[in-house]
Amino acid sequence: MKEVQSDKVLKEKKPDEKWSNWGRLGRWNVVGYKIIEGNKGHRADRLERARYMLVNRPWDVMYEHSYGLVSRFFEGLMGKRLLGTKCTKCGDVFCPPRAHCWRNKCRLAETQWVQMPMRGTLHCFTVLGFAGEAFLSDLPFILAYVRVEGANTLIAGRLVGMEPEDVECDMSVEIRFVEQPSGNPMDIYFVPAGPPLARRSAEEKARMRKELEPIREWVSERFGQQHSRQ
Amino acid sequence: MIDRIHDSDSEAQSLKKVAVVAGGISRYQKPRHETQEEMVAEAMKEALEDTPNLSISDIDNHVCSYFSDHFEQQLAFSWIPNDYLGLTPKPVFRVENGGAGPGTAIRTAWALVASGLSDVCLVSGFEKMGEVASAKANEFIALASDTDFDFPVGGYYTGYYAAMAARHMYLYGETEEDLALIATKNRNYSLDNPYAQWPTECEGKKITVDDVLSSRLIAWPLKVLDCCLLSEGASVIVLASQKYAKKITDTPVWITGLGLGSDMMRPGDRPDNPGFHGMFPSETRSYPKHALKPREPYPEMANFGACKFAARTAYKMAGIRNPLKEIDVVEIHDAYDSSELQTYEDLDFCKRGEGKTLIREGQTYVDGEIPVNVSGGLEGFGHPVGSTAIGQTVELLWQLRQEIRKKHKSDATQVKGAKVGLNHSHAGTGTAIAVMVMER
Repeated sequence: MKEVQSDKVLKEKKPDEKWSNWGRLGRWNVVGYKIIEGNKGHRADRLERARYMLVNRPWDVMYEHSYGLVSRFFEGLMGKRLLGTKCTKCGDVFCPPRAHCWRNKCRLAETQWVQMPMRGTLHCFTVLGFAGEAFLSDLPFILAYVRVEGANTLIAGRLVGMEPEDVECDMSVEIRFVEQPSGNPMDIYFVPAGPPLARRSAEEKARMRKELEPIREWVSERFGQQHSRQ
Repeated sequence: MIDRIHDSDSEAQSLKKVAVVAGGISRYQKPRHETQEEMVAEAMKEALEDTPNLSISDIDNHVCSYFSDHFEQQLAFSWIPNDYLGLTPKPVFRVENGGAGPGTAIRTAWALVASGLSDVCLVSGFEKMGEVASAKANEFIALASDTDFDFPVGGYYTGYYAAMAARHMYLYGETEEDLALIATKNRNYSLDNPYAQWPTECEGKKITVDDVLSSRLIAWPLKVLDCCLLSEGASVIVLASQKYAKKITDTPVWITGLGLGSDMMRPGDRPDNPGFHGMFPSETRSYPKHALKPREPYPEMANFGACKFAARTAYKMAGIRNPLKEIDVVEIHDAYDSSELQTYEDLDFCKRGEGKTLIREGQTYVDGEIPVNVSGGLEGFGHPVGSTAIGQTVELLWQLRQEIRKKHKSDATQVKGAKVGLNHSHAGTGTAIAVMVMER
């Protein structure tokens, strides 16, 4: 018998066939190039011209990433259960979860799983008008940090069902699951649990509305009819 | 728990005095077409030209700073500028600490020289952030946030900073106009700086608060002109012990205080973080009544506790009791104008919540009580991450030597008679922050 047991697959959803080529698509080949004349020099007011060759060099990677000892949180999301962890020594509750307590005096005590309520408080938020490449087509959206009731950590997610101009820090929210969770923090989202609290003037609200118009236009121009993940 | 030895003075006395003796910058722009090592060589060449008594062969150690393996598409990149400058077989290594990498690299080089392991140590920094599209670049930067929790919901750095700024505004009431004042200050100062990136993008025209307010929304309350630039460029400084400093230059600038602090990776872990408990009681007491008070009211998500920790450490070491009065010129990591405002408070230039007063009263302009980012800062000068705080240290070196007239287009941004400078190097969502005090 081996001294260390091998991994045993308990459940699996294989990536779609299209991903199998992912690593080979971009393989460091030069797939395009430019020869240009550009600047050379260490100060903008003392430049010379120089000849440069620029190459297009793709490189793609597929990761198999472990969620570690807090994997149950993500498995919980797939079953539409919001889990957190609790330190049995000091009672601090973590959602996002930690497998070990953060308090020095608890000496990295291992935490226990607890079920979290589906409500909380929005601590702070922003309205995104730009994003990482993967999320551009979702714009604009409200990103919020929410304290799930009873937790000592705040979880990031999206707020829907309220105009950005009406959102305010410290408002109550409900937490909901998307229809088909996939084991990712996007499986939950927030909706307002009470009337708007925002103390903004009508002028400020109008300004926020106006700021979003060009973003909506840009997204529909670039990605066609706007779609949302929620 | 062991008893901490508070009387560390006798130990500190065995450390050598360390000076910045030379510096150089290779201009910030996007794109730059020279390679990273060629840009470092250009910055080094400037340092050598300004310091005739310094030779590359005097350098006995090299600490290198760059932020992202993804941007550079090259691992162990520090080995390349090291060989390119002709430094083999001397020791070289990379110091990586997110956006505070350059400040942490300087701190590491200081420790090498102060301890006697090195007499003359080079610190180099560079970044090229323009080889991928801006949205991809923002994804790369966001890999320095928690990629299991904060990134997958569409988070990225401007978003995190915007949420933190929104919390600060909710608590203390500054406006988008206050933030825009900072953006105009920094961007307009950069027009005098031939190493700065913003002038290459704005056709030399000054901007107004209205320009900032009407620029494209990135993450409310931040518009594109509230945010720093994606940059390419490089810089170097040379540190030396007292004995060697005097041989190399008549105008050494001494490093008299350093601090480095840290905070939680996920900003959402900060409001109840027991790590800060009891550490900053006056900031904790002043929490506004209208807001829900978290367990640790300072820094929570509204301020940068790592900065206050680093600043207090540096001030203690440098013997600074009143930073507002005693410091003459400051370079802050203004990745966003909002973070410059928050950082005024965390550096103890004013009480918590009064950052807005400093900018409204003009105290951080070149003729104010404490000029901040007269180089242009990250918004005007630029932000090639691995180089940023090293380039800002070079600007401070020139400020404290009264050499701005020689290095910039005019002396418009020279802080007259400046003797004490402060450099601030900041990472993540305030996750690692280095502070350094320099004196003529």
